[in-house]
Amino acid sequence: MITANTQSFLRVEINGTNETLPAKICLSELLILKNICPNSVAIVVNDAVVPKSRWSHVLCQSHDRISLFSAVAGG
Amino acid sequence: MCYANHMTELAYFLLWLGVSMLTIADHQFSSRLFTGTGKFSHQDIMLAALASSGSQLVTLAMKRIDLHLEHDNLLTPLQRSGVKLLPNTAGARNAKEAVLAAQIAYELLGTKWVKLEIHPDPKYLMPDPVETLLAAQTLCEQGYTVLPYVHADPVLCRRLEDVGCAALMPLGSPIGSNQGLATETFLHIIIEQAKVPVIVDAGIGSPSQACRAMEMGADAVLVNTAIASSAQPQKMAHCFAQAVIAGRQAFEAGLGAVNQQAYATSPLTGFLGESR
Repeated sequence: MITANTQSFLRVEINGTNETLPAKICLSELLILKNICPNSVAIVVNDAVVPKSRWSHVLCQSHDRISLFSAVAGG
Repeated sequence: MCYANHMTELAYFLLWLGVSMLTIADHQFSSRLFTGTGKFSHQDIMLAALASSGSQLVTLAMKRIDLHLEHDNLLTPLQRSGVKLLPNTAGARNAKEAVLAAQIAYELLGTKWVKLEIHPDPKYLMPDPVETLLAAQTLCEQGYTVLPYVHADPVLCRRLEDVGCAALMPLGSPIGSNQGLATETFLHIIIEQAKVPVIVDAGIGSPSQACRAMEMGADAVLVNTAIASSAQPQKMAHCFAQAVIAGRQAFEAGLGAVNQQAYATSPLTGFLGESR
């Protein structure tokens, strides 16, 4: 997830939907791009939780499966 | 919102009533009514019902967000209310997914408490005992405080205790069914055997059923649908709170023996004639 990316765009899957993102975008920037409040989500990349402290260091990579979770009502 | 103050007052009131505290892991609760946050028609109604219930432990779920929809901010008002949050792993179909859900909840909420629930069958939502035990073992090893939702299976409950679960959450009847304590016979055995708190979860549909569970010696009950689907959730939440207090006090006072024949409560010497 952290290696440099030389393409100008990359294809990823976000919450089950295929999307194209600009290259060298980190997880913090992804949330800004998607207009999502960072305090309300947890991010899972390729089945592993990425701690918030790492979001600005982790670059999205082609074919990453990114999931954004929030707390919802439940019993 | 003055929910926190309301809860403090309620806690003192309960202590004044003589209701004993419940300890789960390192946390104490003066209310033995736990509540879920699902199925309410509006968030304000949910918050009012939670306040009315006096509940100090409320459940919520983790879900992938829909990027095209606005989201209700559930977390902020709940965190402000002062209740302890119990994230569940609903939606997990196996142990691996449940462990990931717990890790997501820890990242999102900062709590290692988790209501472990794995129910791959969408019709009856029966918990998978094998996957639940596997996930419980992994999560306990990772330092989570695990409260597993399970069928009322005394053998499984013992196994879950053995791997370090902090409490047990056997079902009364299928989730959201309001059928009450269909598993009563087995709940008795679990309560008798358990060395950790037993929280009867799922299916409790009325305050009388909650009261019955508490009279049996359950340490707490978790109620969601019966409150949320009431025509007056706030009022119903208060009814459940009273029922749980009554049931717990009755258990502590000690219920009278059940007999198969009559035993007179009045003298049977003859009123007008000879004694019988």
